[in-house]
Amino acid sequence: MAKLEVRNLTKVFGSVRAVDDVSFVVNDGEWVTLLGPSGCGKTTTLRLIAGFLRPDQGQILVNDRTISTPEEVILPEKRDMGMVFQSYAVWPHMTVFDNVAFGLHLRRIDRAEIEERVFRVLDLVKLSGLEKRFPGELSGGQQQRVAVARSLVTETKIILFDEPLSNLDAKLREELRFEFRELQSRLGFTSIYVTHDQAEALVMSDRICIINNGAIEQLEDPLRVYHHPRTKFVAEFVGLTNFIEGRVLSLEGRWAEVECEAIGANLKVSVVNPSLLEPGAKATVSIRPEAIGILHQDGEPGSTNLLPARVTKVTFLGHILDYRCQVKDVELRVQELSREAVVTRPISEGQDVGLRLSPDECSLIP
Amino acid sequence: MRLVMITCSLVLGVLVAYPIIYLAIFSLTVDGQLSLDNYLHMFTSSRYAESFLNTAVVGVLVTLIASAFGIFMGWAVTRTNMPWKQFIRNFSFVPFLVPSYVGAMAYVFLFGPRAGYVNEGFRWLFHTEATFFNVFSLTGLALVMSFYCFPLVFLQVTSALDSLDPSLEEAAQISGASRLRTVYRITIPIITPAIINGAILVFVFAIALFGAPLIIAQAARIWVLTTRIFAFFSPPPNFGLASALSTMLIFLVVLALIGQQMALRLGSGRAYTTITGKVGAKQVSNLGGWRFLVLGGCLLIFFLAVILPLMTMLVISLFKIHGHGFSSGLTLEHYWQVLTSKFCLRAIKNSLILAFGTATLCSLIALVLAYIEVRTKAPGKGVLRFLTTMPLAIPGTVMGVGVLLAWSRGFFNLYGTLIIILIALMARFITFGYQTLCASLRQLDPALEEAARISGATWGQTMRKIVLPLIKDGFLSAWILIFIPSVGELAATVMLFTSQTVPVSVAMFDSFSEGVFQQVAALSIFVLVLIVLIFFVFRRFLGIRFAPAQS
Repeated sequence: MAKLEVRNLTKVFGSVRAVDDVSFVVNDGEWVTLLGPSGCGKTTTLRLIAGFLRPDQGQILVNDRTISTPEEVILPEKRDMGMVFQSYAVWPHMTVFDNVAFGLHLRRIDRAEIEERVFRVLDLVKLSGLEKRFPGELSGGQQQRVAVARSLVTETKIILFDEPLSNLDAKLREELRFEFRELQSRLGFTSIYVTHDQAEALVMSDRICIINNGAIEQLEDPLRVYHHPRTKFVAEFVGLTNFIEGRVLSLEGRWAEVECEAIGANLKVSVVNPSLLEPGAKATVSIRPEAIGILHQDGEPGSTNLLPARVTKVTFLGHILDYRCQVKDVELRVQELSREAVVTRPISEGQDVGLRLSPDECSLIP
Repeated sequence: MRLVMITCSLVLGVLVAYPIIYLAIFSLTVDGQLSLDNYLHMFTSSRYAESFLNTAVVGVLVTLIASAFGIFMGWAVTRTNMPWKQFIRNFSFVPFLVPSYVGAMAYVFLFGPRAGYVNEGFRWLFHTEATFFNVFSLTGLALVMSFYCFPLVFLQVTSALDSLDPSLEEAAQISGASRLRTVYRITIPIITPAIINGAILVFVFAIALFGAPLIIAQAARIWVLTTRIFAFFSPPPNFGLASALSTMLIFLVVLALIGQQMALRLGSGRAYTTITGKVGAKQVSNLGGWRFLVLGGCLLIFFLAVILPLMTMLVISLFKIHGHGFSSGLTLEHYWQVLTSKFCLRAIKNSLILAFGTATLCSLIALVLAYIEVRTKAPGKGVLRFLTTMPLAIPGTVMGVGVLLAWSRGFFNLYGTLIIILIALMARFITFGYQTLCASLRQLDPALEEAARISGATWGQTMRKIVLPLIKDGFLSAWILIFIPSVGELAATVMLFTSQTVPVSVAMFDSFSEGVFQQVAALSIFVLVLIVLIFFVFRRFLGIRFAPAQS
């Protein structure tokens, strides 16, 4: 069992609140990713969890046992956690075997068992046969696997990842993303993963914790984070989106009608949390480019959320076509699979089109 | 962990700050009362004014000559197609391995006005009574000291030229400047801060030097500050004036270093720094046939600075009778004498004990201090850093005086022991270890230690299993950098020795004063061989390449 809880955690550097009253729970066996731009406080949070930093306020608990407070911090070596670093941090003067066995030696485990466990773990990370090599003789990806093996071999229940794939090339990153997630599913450790790469977060996480300026913007599973962003920041940071400012006219169940002067129309949008809004309040409509349907002018008129627009730019991105469309005062970005354009008539710049915004896919952000 | 750090900090304070503060306070007291008498006496006496003047003149002369050598060789090594460039680079710091007084003694043997071999040979060859060159002069002293100091400028110049972004010069040429004009308007102005830096280092070094002035200037009746201070300790001793002069000398050094900082700041304001890490094709001048001449010049400097003194000592140590040269035959009996003389053996033993002790203790303490500096955010870090680098500004003579006054009275009377010399040596040279180890630790990814901690290692285990093995090279470098100057140190030890604790440097000087020249020569060769052996053994063993620490 390894449940991690962070309560009202705050860390201040000079006048900067790097971590600002952050609270969340990571359940046993869960994979939570801390996602955010550089300098948002995600690495600081991770290092507080690891015990390298002392909190200024708040607590950190593992299985309901306090391990960090402003008064007392249990030393990293006593926390029984694992950590995989961005720079791999494999010790260059020790062989792969010795690197992985290091933690076991410290725990005074007998040699036979050390050997058995090290070989087993190296097999798990696909490094069998490389025990006698030195890190200098390995590639970046291999070194990173050594780092992971080192964390796995001590069978700690919580493993922390500090942007471990940042230094690897794109292909390798994709490969290792799946491998790490698979390992975690198989072995069942609790994982806290820090990254600025949203693709990684979406692929690997049970829940994503979006952090900005030291505070949590949203903590939910990837699907909800993507389709129902709670704040403008989340909507923009994860994937592309269009923002349309407006005023709430009425609320009915999970739907709202929003008056959007900038586009000269009213939109019907879905609402996740109706309690946060009331008629008359200002709000932002967020809709992803791929969720806007683009129709030739002779589409069905008078439908809900159908806007007239003029195409200002068409960009071919391979399997996607990207359109910039001007709707009164707002420029909307629309994307569709390019093969769709092959089926219907191609759309060209300067053409008048109709944009259909499906209410289901319009999020309302307070 | 905290305990270790606090202990080392305290040791540092006691080692470095205590003698100097004691010295400063002492200079302001006469018979136990606060008084400016010492300073008044010093400022009003013409003798001391003369010492100041001499020191300044020698300092300037040495700076000019050493800079000339350094710039010439630096340019030759980085910007020409002179052959053997790598060789010159690798051996550029060798002058530092040879104590300044050894070189001075060799030059006295060669160019002493009455008995110097070169002068005698000159007289014999040309049937004249004239002296070819009298080393017992300001020029003589300046030359000898320059041979010892020029690497300081050389290293600065080569470093600056090596990291000079070639596109700066290429831009000038594209704009129409000729090669010469590019050098004049672009290259030289950009490396000027480096030259000034090196020049000021040389100046500071020169005014603080003791060994060479002692050997050469004495006979010429030229007193510089360091030798004047030393003179106060021969009976009747005048500690008050000695401490006042010492404080003044520190003051001068600090002024020079402040000047250096200001010069650097002015320079960086105009964006002189050019370390871009860009390695492009450097503009190498093709000198054609002239390159052999340039090589000749570099080799000549090298010869005069290193080879000649060493050869002289070697040859003299082999002569049967000094003064008769080769005609009296060659022998190894002087070496035999050294090896069987109780006096010499004790001196060698003392020096080895001192050097080993200093190097080992300083390296360990420096390691902890460097760790505090690089890895922690401890309060008072700045003070530690200041205390560790301050000894660079303190001439050996002054350190000797301070340690003598501070540790030979009252409760902690250590006078007459090896320990008091050890204290002085440690205070002088800990900074070399500190600079080297700071550099080593900076190159170490802190994540390597964190990974060990999270795997379950305590701070102590992390230091032992991860940090120490990885900075092994740096540690040994620091050790050698401290060992070598400790073996031959004269300025401080000459104030602190007694008959039982004579180190080899004082033994050499004593023998020189008594005219037992062969013994001096044999001893010096012995010591030099020892130094070179240890140096090259370490170097080959580690495969490291290192340069003397720069302040």
